[in-house]
Amino acid sequence: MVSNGTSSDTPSNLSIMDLENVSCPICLKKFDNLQALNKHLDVEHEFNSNEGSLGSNESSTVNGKATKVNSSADKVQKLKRSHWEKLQKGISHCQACGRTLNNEIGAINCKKCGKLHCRRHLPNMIKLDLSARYEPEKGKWYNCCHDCFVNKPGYNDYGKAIDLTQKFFKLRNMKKEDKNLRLLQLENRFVRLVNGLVTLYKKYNGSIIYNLKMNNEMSKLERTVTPWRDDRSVLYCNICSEPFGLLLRKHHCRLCGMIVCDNTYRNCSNQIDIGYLVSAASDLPFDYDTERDSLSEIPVSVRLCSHCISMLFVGRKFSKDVEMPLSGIFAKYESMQNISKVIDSLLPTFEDSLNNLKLETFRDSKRVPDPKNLNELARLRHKLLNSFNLYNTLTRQLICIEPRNHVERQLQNSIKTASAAYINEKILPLKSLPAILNPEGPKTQKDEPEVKKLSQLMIENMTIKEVKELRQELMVLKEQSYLIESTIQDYKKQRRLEEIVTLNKNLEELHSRIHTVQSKLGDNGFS
Amino acid sequence: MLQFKLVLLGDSSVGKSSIVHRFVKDTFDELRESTIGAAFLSQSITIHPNDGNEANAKGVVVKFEIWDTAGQERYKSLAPMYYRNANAALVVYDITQEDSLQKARNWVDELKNKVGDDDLVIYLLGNKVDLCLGTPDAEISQESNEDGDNEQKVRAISTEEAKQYAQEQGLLFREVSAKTGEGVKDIFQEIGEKLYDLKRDEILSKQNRQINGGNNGQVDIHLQRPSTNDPTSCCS
Repeated sequence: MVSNGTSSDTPSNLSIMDLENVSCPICLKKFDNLQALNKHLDVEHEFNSNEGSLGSNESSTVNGKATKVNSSADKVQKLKRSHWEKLQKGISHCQACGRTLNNEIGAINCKKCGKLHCRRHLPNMIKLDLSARYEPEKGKWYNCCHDCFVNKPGYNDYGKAIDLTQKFFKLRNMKKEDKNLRLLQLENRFVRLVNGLVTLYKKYNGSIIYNLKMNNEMSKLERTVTPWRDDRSVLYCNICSEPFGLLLRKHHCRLCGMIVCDNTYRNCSNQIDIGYLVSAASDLPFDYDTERDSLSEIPVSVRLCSHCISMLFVGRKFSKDVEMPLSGIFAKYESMQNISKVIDSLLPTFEDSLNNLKLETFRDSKRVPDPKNLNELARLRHKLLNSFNLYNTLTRQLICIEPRNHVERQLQNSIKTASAAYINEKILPLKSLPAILNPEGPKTQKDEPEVKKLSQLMIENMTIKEVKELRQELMVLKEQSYLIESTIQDYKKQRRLEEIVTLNKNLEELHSRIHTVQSKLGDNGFS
Repeated sequence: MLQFKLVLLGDSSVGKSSIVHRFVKDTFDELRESTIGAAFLSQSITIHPNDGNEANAKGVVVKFEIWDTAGQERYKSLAPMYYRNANAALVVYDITQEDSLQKARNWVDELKNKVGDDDLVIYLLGNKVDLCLGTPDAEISQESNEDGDNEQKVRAISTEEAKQYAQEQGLLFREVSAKTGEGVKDIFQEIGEKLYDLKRDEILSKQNRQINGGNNGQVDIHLQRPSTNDPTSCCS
């Protein structure tokens, strides 16, 4: 651990974790660890400092003697030293680790609080003014102990947080603006194209020269809407990058003018009827109205590339879908979510007052809890119970809905499992209430029906864990009995009758065990 | 013929099923799937007890009904059903897996607590010795692992350690390899003989009863046959 240079003492002394050899990117000085380098950067290259010039005024004291490190230190005014703890050989201990200080482990005063530390426990730097007070602006860097470092105002142990949200928004808005401009351009072209085409159609419809003129005029119009790319220079489809050829023909997108293929599988471009396009983007200011001018009957179509289609129509379709009423499952799920929110908000209050009550009865078993509290608790529980009931009903209703496709079926199953888990988890505190209320005697017997209702929802006197274990056992037992049955079938074929006797005996045992577990589980078994 | 119920216990993937299959079918499958629940197999062997009984000169046929249980935690609740009433339990561990011996110890404890020591023969088996052939005994040599053979693994449990434990607990002990078949047959011979010794009195008294009982115990089937002269009989 040898470092060169003039101000060399602190970094190498402080290397607690010798991680790697790092060197300063500015002066190429070598350091033993990152911490030392950081400090070097802070102090000598004035990172992390608003102050203009800061000479290396660092000084360290060993055994109370100040060793001047740099010649410039002479000019620097001395830091207050009156509060420094005097070193007494063999008596002074490091404030942090408690070891007796000697030359070997060093003895340095924290420049702020003045207490003595060994070299290892003076790892931090702090800006101090001459009377050893924290001075973040004009102060100079001095060693300080961990306590002083942590206690300085504005300290946090997660580092500096810089809010980049605004910067991000700026960048994002720039991108978004670009996109919006492009969309506007496309929309303008689209409106012009549609207006022109419909006008042309109306002009020539029914005329003898329709076929002759229409195509010609159309392609002319289309070229005015957007400049078409030159065919000759383009060899690959702009979207799928397949080479054009005899089988893969070139087509122009009528909105962006790019050259794309018409592969039906990759959907790079599509020929779409005007009527359909207009109705899909009915918010745009067309000269013609879909219904009034019966655009859907116009047999004119335009070719659009998939990029333009997605730009123009995907957003519109999305917002339309959002506005549409939810399908059955989703609507039910949303109301389930609302109820679970209610439960989540009520439960903590309920648990708190329950715990208070428990504490009271625990302290003084004869004391009858305040009826007001009890009433409040009963009211809360009633509310919660109703919510749980509603939740349960909603889940049942949701399960009854016939899913439209297999994705919905999966969703339905997941929701079913999740809601069962939710009820199991949340209903636990409700269970403990009757236990408190019951010893109170007939006074609380009034809400008997509620308690019963509760026990219906609850798992009878078993914790969730027990039920889980029993269910697991039941599952294993059923698996095993199935296995044994199939083994019996096999052995029957092989005529190994003696083994079948043994297996049958085991099967009986299994069945009786299954019966026991099932009766233990009661209604909580598998249906 | 004597019948004994035998159960295999131990951590998952220590080679319980492989040992049984080596014994019953004399095959070894490198890629055996893990057992589900408990598998049933049976196999008969002949033992030659030298108890001076002339009837046993030709050897005694012993039939093992083997329950090969799954080692996975999930199936733990099944095990009691199979080790209950068992005559012998093979507790298997993997000599290359440190914690498999601990699991084996747990099984031994459970067996001793729940079944009782007297009637049950517990056999501690260290499997997979073929993986550590280069290191025949307790000395663990690191070099063997550097050999080109990837299969070669470092022995994690020394023979001495397991042997000492077996002696303390009064278990039979052996290290075997289901892959090479080393020692597998011997286990069952040993168990058969041990069980025969334990049950000798019982067995002998049964045999004697059979011999002495003579025809008294037999049923004369002719007596039960319907008389052909009986008009009420259907078989006229």
